[in-house]
Amino acid sequence: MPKNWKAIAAALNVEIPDSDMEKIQVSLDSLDQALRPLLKNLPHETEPAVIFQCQPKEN
Amino acid sequence: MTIQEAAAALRAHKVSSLELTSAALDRTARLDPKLKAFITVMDESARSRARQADAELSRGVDLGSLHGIPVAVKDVFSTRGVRTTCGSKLFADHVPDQDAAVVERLESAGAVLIGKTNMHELAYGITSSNPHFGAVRNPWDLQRIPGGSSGGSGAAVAADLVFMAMGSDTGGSIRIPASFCGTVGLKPTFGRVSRYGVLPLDFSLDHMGPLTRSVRDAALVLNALAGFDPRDETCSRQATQDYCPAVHVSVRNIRIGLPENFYFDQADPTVTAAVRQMAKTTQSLGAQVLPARVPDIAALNTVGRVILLSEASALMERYLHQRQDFGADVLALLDQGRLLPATHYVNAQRLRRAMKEEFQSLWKQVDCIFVPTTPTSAPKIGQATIRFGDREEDARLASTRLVRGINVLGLPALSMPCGWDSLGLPLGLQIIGAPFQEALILRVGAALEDAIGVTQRVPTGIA
Repeated sequence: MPKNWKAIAAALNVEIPDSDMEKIQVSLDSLDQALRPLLKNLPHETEPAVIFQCQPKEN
Repeated sequence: MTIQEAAAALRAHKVSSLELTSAALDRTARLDPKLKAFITVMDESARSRARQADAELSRGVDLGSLHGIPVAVKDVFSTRGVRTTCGSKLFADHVPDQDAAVVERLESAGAVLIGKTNMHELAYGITSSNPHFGAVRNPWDLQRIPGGSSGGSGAAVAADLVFMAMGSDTGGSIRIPASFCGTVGLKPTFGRVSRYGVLPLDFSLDHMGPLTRSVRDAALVLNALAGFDPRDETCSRQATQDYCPAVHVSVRNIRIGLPENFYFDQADPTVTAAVRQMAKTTQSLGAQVLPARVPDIAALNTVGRVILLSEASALMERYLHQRQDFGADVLALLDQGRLLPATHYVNAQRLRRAMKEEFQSLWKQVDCIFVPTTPTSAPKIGQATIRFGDREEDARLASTRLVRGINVLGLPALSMPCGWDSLGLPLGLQIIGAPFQEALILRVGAALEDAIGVTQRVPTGIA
């Protein structure tokens, strides 16, 4: 079911004029729908590819 | 003329750096009003640097193949004392106080920087129809886009304004203009070339690389650029090597994969035929051409789009109250990124890791794959869609479909000319390799170039 992107924008306090919102809704819906099925088989323990690394204290 | 040929001519005293540089500046002055390939031309400093290069070479100080060669960099690379706009109104007056690492390394190699090339606004798009600095035109047909976002770099090299122009590639932005403009474009492995001093579009997808007239020229530039830089946290400590292929390079027994899925499914038959012909040529040179199945590239593209939308919007959010300062297409992308949930971004990065593992198995079967760079030749300026049979596809998504996923995995990829369509427009072959296998893909590209020759065609749009 398509998301209500206008309501999401309002909830996030992101100001996007209606005319601009109309242009992006289809693209957002298709991306959202393309991503969701990919998550079904993603192993629970898979970590994101972005890593934060602590550096040891330099003497 | 290629960098290799110009470097030989310089050392044989057949030409001077000042003559090469003056010719580049004069040709730019003559053609750029049509092409809009440059945002800033550095006439005075370029001539001064060329004189210096001539003096150095005459004293026996030889900094290598790029010494005295006129080049350009996309206007995302910081240049000390020279404005760096990123093709954006927001940065129209931004004058950095230091050079990007790439600029430093080009200067250390003796290259002569003649200017900063035009680009898609904020490097966020493939048309290079920049609303603030003019629409870059394709030298093969001025009514067509040069590709992007490094469109000015592609146009400048194709139109013979410079021997090399640097680009950046977040979702195909080096390879697409290379394909549409008929040049070579090299996107090295993520971490191979420092991103320090580049105005970022996306923290985890941006790659820096050259557009050139020949494969060996791209290799020479990589020789100058590759290597660890502690100022870029993602820069690799992996050892560098001499990337320039030997004169009579062999591809015997190199395993070239031709994907059976995805890459050839929805592309102009002229393009797919040209790519298959390149595979046949390498086979005749002793390479093994093998059928291959690639992991789900459509999924990889979806992951790439989520990451790019999220990271670019995070980066630009502080400016988004100035909506009037953005072009409509870029604003639409930035708005989308603001609305995607954080869970989508994190999950996309988790999928990225899983897909990286899937791709590892491909490299056990083949050494590189041959695929089209773009599914068609250059679209017309303003063309919103591209038709494939009875299906119409958004021109931006179609042009990035075969290149975007490779950024997600950080793999090295080379685009090189592989033929011409019925309109006389260039077509691009993309050679993709395993991480840090730049030398291998350059070797294959150079062998092909030896067989088919560096193109001598003159762009018809400016002839």
